[in-house]
Amino acid sequence: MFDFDRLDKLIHEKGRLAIMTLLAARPNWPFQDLKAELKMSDGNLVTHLRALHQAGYVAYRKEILIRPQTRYELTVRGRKAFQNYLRVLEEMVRSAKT
Amino acid sequence: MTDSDSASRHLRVIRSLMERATIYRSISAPTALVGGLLSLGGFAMAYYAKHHRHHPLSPTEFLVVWLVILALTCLANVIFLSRGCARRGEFFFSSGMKCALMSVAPAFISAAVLTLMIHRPIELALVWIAFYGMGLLATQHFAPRSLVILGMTFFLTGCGLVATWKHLFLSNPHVEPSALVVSGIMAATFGGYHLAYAAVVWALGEDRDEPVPSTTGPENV
Repeated sequence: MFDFDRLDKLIHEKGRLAIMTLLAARPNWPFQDLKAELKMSDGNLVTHLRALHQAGYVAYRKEILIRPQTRYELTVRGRKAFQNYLRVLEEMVRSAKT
Repeated sequence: MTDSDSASRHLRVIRSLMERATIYRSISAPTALVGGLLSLGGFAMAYYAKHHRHHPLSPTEFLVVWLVILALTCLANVIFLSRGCARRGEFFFSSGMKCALMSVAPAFISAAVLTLMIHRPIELALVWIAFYGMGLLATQHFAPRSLVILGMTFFLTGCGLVATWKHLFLSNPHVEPSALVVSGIMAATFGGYHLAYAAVVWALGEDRDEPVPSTTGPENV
């Protein structure tokens, strides 16, 4: 029997999983690009990012180029948590096949 | 749905999202087909000018013909890319598009500036081939493999042609390849390479859009 408690509940939510996946794919993402890619509302995206930030998975920095923007990136802890989440999912699939 | 199905589905979502974030095809296969055929048309025009009009393309005519081909190919690319974006429910000016534009800009702008400075068709062709390859290679961190190979092929061909041209013609400035020969080089590269690229992309099924599940739907995982 597979132990579901091993799945990180914070990441195991559709919106946050999508955010973590995109952040894992590139070094960092501007807020507006994340929003456009995920087609989320500002409020929804901010809520998810805040939850991930509070867990120490996501870091952000504000910068002013042509206009102010906030860039988000995975922390070392966040990247490890995401890799671990993937590993657990893969184990889940493997255990079902055997 | 079993837990295993759910886990597999999650992994598929993760994979398609990561691919969407990391891979961007700046030249679609239909665009390559259109560009390739137009390039062969450019050669046909040079052939017509020499053998039927009995007056080869002048350097200015050569420039105009290939700029028109470039403009039509760019227009086709915008149409095909925007259709693809609409099909996938993405914005045309996506982050991938912005990355691609920023990456190719230095090489393409350099080629444009050099086009203003040089007049001989052979020099124009060599600059366009090499710099086009450099532009495509600049997208290698997020472009699919087929596009990187296309860029590398253009770049190596450009370098090879520069070396050949230097060896054959620079020692004798009175010898100049005709507009027909240069149009043949353009047709072989911009025509032949793009047609081969389109064929490979279609054969490998790389142009198929992977369905990416919505991240904002009512269904929760």
